[in-house]
Amino acid sequence: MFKGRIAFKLTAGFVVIVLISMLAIGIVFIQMFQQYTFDSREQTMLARAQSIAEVMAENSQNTGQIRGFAGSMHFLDTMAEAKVWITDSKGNPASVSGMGIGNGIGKGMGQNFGFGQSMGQGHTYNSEPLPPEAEKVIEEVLSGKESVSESFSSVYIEATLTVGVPIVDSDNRVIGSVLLHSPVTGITATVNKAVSILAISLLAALVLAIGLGIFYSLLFTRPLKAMNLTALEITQGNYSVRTGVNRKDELGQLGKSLDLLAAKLGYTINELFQEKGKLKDIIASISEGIVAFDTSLRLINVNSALSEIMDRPQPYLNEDVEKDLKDLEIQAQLTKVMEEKASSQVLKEWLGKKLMFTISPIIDNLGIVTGSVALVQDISKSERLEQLRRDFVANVSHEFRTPLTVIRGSLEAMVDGTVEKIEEIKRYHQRMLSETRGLERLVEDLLELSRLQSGTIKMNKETLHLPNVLKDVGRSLQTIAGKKGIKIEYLFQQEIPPFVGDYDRLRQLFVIFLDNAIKYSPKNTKVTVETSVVEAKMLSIIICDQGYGIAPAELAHIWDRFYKIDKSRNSRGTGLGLAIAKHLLELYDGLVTVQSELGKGTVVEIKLPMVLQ
Amino acid sequence: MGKYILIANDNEGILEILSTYVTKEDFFPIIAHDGEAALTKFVEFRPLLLLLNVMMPKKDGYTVFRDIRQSSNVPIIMLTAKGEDFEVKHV
Repeated sequence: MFKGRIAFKLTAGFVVIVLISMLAIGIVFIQMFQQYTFDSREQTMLARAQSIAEVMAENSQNTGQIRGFAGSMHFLDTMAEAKVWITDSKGNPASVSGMGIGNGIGKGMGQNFGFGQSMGQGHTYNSEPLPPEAEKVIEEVLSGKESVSESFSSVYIEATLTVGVPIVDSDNRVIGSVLLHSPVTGITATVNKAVSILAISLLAALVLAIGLGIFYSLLFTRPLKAMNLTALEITQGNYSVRTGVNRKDELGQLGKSLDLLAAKLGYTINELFQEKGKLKDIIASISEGIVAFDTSLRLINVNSALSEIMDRPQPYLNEDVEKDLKDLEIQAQLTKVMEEKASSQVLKEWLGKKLMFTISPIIDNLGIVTGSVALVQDISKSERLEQLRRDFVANVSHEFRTPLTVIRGSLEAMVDGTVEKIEEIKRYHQRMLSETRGLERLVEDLLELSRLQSGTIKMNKETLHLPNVLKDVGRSLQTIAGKKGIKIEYLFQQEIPPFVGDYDRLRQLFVIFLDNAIKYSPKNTKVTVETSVVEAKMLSIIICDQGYGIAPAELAHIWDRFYKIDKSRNSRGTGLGLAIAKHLLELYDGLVTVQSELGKGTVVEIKLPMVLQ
Repeated sequence: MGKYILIANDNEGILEILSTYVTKEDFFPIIAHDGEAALTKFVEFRPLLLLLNVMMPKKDGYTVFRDIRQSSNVPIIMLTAKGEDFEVKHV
């Protein structure tokens, strides 16, 4: 886990770089140092060996052979700071004491660096053998060349140098050799010292590298982490989040780009959501049911109005919708619509309702059918209204046809001579006249109803005294009441305040109720009209008769147009009176209640608010 | 059996006109003002023909028609002011 982090990678990188460079520098430095030390030591030893060789050559010219240096050897050793061997031309070491071949030469420098010790041994014959590499050096030197050999002495625990120089006489003959063998003092110590310095500085550099690595990685990872968090928040749908990175470098630019991305994304997504939400709200708010299917007739969307239209409880699960629509055999229609790419309508009966399915194919902008959508409308109400309209038309035509038939029949009978007698003809004329008046009333009532329904009635406001209006009505109906011996009584128990209204319309209203009371009452009965103030601001007019009464089952229908309880008794009415009265009452925000008992009579109570709106 | 023709109608004018024509053709008009009277008078007079109005008080023409058809094949002419297509009923 840690390996994957930038901090680790960066630090490791720094450490590796430091290690490699330090090691490279160290190794090169040590190599160069060693080389330099060897080279300068070699030069020195060679120079000394040459000096010795020259002296040797001069001496040999005097004595002819190399010997008798026993006294000088210690001096040589000291001078040369090395062990010195001198050999003859055959490579045999020259006898210091002049005893000939095979004896060691005196040695100045003692073993183990002990100066005192070496002094002590300096005067004895030195049987110390030549160092192993000397053979090769001597061989080369005897051929007239200078030779150098490096090696490592286990005795000194130090690198050693062996330098050989030929001794040449005046005739340029090699008469011997001078060999100098010396440890290159201090190299190992120096190298060790250098290595330890290198190790310490490496350690310091490593600490620095790790520190820098952590510092830089923090510098980089902090904004990266912030940006990562931001990106994650964006995926969660939080578009208001910002990185908070405030830098001028590339990371800062990335941070700014990310902030901009979040802002733009937020704005765009918000807009999309609003658009989608709007569309969703629109579909959800439509009172008609909407249900969409894909090409394999699987339900993909349904709005909440469908459950209401289909009379199903919420939640209306998709499976239930599919099942219900299958029961309605809508599937075949959906397939047909998708094949034909044209909408169609089907009317279905569902739980006593009439449902209209308008099915259309869903066509995308490439013209490919991706499914179908059905608009489900409950047309039970509009069907009922349509039925009412049909009934009304039928009623109107019936109401017109009957008097017209009578008029035509009467005329035909007179024209073709079926009716000839004078008194008969007179009766026929009278009947035609009466039917014509009936037609006139019918036309007037229909027009009145139409005006009331369309709301184009103009009201003239004037201050009225209601008992006076009622008395006027009574007077105009006195003729028909008198014919049946019906007495109209007026009861005004208290002072009735003035009322603002339209005289003609109020008169019309009361005529309808009072006329009905007289019409549906047997002879020699009484009709009472009572006026009072109720509920503070209401005028109550009660019209009470002792008439035939209305059966409870019929009571609900009395306000319907053309509804006549008993046609034979009321051949003069149009059946529109109460329908008109109801509309008139609506103009005054009035209320009406009807109580009736068969054979006993009817009580109609009209309530009018005293302040006309 | 007399040459009776039953005229059932609630409109006096139509009743009188129809009776006049029936009498002119040497038949006896039997008058009924409503559906129930029509049925009673049908049983009583056994008419040769019925002129039956559809919209009548107490029992409408369709009901009277069905009741009579249960026991008799007497010719019946239905008279009605209802002439619209949607009002045609199969009885």
